[in-house]
Amino acid sequence: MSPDMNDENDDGERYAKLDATLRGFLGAELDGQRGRARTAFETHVTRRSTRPLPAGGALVRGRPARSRAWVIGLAGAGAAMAASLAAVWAVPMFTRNTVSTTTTMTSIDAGVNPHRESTSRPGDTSGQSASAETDWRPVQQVTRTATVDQGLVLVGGTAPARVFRRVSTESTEWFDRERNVRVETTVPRERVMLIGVDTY
Amino acid sequence: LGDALHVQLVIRSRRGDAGAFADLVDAYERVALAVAYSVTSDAGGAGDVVQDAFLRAWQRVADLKEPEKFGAWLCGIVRNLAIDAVRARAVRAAVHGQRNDNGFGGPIDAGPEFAVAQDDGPLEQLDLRDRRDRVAQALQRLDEVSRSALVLRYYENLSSRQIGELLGLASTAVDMRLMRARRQLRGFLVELDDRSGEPTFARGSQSAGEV
Repeated sequence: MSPDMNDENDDGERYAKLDATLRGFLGAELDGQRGRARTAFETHVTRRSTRPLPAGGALVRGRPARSRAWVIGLAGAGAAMAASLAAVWAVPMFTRNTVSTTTTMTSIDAGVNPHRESTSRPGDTSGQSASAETDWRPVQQVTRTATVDQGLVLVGGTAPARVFRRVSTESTEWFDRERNVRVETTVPRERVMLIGVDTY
Repeated sequence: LGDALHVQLVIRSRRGDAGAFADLVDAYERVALAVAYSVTSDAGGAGDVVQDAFLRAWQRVADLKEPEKFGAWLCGIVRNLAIDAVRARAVRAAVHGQRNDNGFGGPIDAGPEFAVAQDDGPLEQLDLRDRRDRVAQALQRLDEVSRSALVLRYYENLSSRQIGELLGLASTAVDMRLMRARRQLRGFLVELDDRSGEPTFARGSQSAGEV
């Protein structure tokens, strides 16, 4: 066999391997998504079927009779208002990747005024030894939390789940009465939660 | 795709037959997923897009003038929605500082593993995940049209003529793109394997140092 033919065979073998790899990869990636569109469509149709719709969801064409025009206009206005209210109610429920932020402030030691100015610098207290020698008390805790909805994922290729990423910073203000020093510590936290989604 | 049966289903769908449209969803779902995935490079995102695209198609199917062109029409809807979704994700990623190349995915990837067996150990699973990432990365480096053609060919086994009808290309142009895309893809995979130092499937059974 000539070197050229060898190369050709090698090439054929490599491409066959590449083709098999691509088929396997795409099947593993996309097959988990199959069936979602039909389920969503059937749900959509079932919900709409309580109120008969024109064919294909299309609008009715042509001018309505004059005598019925005002009735349709009135009904249209009512429907528009209802739709607006429904949208206001539903949008926060269905919007993906929405960010919700919360801030909670807790006063821990009621005997200390957290807003009083300190007379000495917080930097004077350095490290654990200072903390051990002095009487540090938490005064106030502020937790800021942002939650991001990152959309749907398939866990293990079969179970749909919604991913929520929650990032928070927990700031605690400490006060040493004896030396009249206040220090703030901030601890960042990040949690990722997978919430199972019911399929129907 | 696009045969007489499907044309009949489109005509019935235009009259409001939801059952007929549901059959169209089944028939075209893989095509739609392939097109959406070619844009989003993310399976979950592609699933979201396809779901929305079929609902939109149902709402507009009465306006479709040529039932035999349902596939191309649907692919247009899918592609536009996928582009919108990628843009929206990219904006969110920029705002929230996520490191997403394509706007999807992010640090969490709970998507289906690439041929992971239940009894595989953690190292095997890691290795398979690496391979999967490398294929995904190589696919992302192709241009979008070639990627669509390639995904339609390998996921839905469509002929060049069918791919051409869906993407608005001549079948010879599809053949040309497929040939180039396969060559490029193999090159990308070899390059990525060289960087990672791992044995490769792109080179067949040879080890990384043999080529």
